[in-house]
Amino acid sequence: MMFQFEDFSDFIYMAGHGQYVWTAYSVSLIIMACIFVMPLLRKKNIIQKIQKKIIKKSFLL
Amino acid sequence: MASPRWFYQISGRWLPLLSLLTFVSIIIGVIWGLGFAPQDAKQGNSFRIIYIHVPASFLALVGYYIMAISGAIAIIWKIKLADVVMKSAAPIGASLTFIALLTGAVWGKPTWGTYWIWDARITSMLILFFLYLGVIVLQKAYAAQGLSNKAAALLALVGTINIPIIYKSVDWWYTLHQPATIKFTEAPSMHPDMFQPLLIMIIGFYLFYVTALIVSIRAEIIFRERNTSWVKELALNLKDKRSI
Repeated sequence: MMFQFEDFSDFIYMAGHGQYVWTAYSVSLIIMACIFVMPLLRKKNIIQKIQKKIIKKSFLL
Repeated sequence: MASPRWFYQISGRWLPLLSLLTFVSIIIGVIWGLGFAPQDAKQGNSFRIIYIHVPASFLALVGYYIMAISGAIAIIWKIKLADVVMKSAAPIGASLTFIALLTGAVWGKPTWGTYWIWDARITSMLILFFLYLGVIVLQKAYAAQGLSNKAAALLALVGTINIPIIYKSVDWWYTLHQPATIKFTEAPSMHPDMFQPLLIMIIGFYLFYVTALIVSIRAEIIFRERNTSWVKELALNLKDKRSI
């Protein structure tokens, strides 16, 4: 197994196909990161709301 | 068993390992596919898009079955967790279908000279995307949650007809889309140097799907059970940990 390109700029350019390859990879990986992170943020948000509610109640008591 | 609370606790134990494995396999697959796999004799470097395109398409189809089957289970046996799985699977599947369509379009430009063509495979894949969107929209369509879920599950079930059509479309119709690289019944039509990173990426995408589904299910469970004592306890425990 060998690195298929001469140098870094050759790797980016990919004999003219770089724009397509890099677009496909970057957009896909960004979407996948979002799918993973969004539910984590949602859960954090819900738990914070529950915590605030509990604090409010304990003040009222 | 199979209660949302039980699932939340069990999945919490597996999540760190699953996330790590997902991350490692996708990183290895991406580096291998982008830099070390040999370029295709006809398509050149544009072929490297296959390492995203094929796994994403694969999981888009598998994910549809997962969504439809959990919808059916939710309707027939009224299992709460199955309903949560259906709801969580829809946006993940829609995103993967979108990735499949997008990477296909970007790959099509240098290979076929066009981003889009109304070819059987591509059109049936677009229908899959709309089916996913339909399920997402229906889940929110009625004020009565039960009715929404039933309608969504029904659409998901009817839509499963599309899956074998997508799978077979390249054989049934004369299409521009190339025939499947990997088939369940034959050895892959690809050189091992190109196939090995693809296999890593497919494993990586499977792991990603499972991990993303679990993360999403956990958030939905916390939302639906927000008024129960165990979720309140959990919220308090998390707060204590942070204040220390």
